[in-house]
Amino acid sequence: MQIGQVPHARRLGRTGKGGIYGDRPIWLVAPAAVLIVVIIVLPVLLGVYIAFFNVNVYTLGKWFQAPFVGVKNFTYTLLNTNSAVGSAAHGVLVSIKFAVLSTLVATPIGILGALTVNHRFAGRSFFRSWYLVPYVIPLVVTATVGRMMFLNGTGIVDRALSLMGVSAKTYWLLGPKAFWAMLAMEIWQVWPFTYLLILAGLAAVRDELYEAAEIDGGRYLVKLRYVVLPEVRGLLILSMVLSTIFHLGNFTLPFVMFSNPPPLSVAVLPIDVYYRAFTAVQFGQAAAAGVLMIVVFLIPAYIYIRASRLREALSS
Amino acid sequence: MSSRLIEVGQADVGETALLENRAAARPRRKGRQAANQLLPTWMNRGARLGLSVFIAIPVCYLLILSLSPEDAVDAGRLFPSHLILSNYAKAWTEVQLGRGFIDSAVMGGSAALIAVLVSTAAAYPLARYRFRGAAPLFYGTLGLQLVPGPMILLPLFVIYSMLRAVLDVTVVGSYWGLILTYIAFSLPLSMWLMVGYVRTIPRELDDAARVDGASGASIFWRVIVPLAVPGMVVAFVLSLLLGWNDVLFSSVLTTQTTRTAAVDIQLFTLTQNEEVVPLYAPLMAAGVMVAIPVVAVYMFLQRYLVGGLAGGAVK
Repeated sequence: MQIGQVPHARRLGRTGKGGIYGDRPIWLVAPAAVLIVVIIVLPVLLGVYIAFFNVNVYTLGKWFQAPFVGVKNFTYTLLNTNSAVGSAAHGVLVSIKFAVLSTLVATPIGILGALTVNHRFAGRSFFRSWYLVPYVIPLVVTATVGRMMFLNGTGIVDRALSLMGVSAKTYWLLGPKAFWAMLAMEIWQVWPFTYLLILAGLAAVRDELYEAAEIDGGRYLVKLRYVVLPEVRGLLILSMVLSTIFHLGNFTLPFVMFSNPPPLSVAVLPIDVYYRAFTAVQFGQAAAAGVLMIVVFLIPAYIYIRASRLREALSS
Repeated sequence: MSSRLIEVGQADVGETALLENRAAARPRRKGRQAANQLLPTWMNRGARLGLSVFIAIPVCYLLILSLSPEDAVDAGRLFPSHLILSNYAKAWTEVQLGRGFIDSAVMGGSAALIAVLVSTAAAYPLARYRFRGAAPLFYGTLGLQLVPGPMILLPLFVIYSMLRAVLDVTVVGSYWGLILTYIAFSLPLSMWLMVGYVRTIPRELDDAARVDGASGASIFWRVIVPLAVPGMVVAFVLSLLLGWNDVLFSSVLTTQTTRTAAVDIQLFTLTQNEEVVPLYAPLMAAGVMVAIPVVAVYMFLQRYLVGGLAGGAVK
């Protein structure tokens, strides 16, 4: 996006008060700029700073006097498994596995959803609203329902399994199986995001392109491969990158759906940071895990920038 | 979370505006499939049915449990012999949802209001003028959305603890501590939305006001702000929902008296582990009541976006 410009402003030079185009009330950005610096940028920098200091329950109030410990917070956080939620290295692995699997499963569902409501038919607007419902229900509610659905023995999942003759004692909310329960709820709630982006992309495709494909004798596969795919490729990559970032940052689902602290199999990085900070009160270590989290967040962002550069290079 | 909300707004606008234009320009073809039908009809129907059932399972489960007697819930009976409404009243008393609703609305609302006012003011110069620092401010704000929530919460909590230790000011549990935190969390989103919206206001209107002798500030007040109201409403609602849906910040920065509705639900879920008599049904009723305003707002917003944004762009 380009930052806007007054017509001819450059030719006229900096037009002060009384110039042909009048004054430019640049000062209007001041409140926002001050707020952003004071309540976002400085705190985040402080967060990175305390990752190198031993800020804990004793030094919390006077963190500026806490002893410097170098990268010890990072090595301890990454390797030591004594914490209730395991090591941060474990957290990184769980987070990546969770984010990648969620994106891989939810993306095709979202694409399918968009393809089914692109053309006009009776009831289209109903389906377009209905498809959004999982996405707009507050995550805390989705997590609570997920907990009920996967309850041992009495939840709907176990009831359905026992109808199919599988043992009803599955304990979805404990141990390694918890990961799959969380993954199922995450996919359920997030696929409409891909759906929305792809649908927006499809809306921009001109009918002439489809008609041209029809005249050339092409049917659905041809339209999808040679009309739809080139038109929505950019949005598809964007939606995959953004949803991967959401999955990586999802705190509410593992926090609400499971016991406190949640089982190790769902101890994603946000949970890791939270328990280190607010249960163990080891703020230095929590900040180190937070810095790790920023690094993990940057991976999909970096992939996106590379992919869009690659696309520019290919198209020019 | 924040960028997730952005996309709802943006995608809806483009999508519906374009579709409406197309519908007007192109008469419906009779007897043949529309050229933009992308799947065979049988596959379309099957997929729509499958997706609808997939969506419906948790939604219906939530609704049924919220209307079931407690013993039916405990036994895992999906079709109870009779439905009751008393769970909703119980949720109000047991979970104290009323107080939670007020806390959510007050804190989320104040934060959203401040965020929208501040970001609308900033959006005007950012959308209209080229000045030193504009690009870093704009792209920096976008980049800040990549900072994970815990990494904003953690240092703010450290600062709040310092304020208590050094200046004896208690932030945790106060309204303004969470309001400030929500502003930090929703400002990037509302800045992004408002810059995009102000760009859709035709520049000719500024120029006309200039010719009439208006100063930059009065153009902002008399031309930009009145025209930007629909965008401001959208930004306000989306910021409000960030607060409404938040569990992370409010679970740390509130106490028993200032808890938001979302935290009420989260804590209520936890007490289930120890309590002798589980109260799953009222919990589900509380969930329904927390979800209904949000779902209603989105459905309302969908139409508002079509009327407001698409209309404003054409003028």
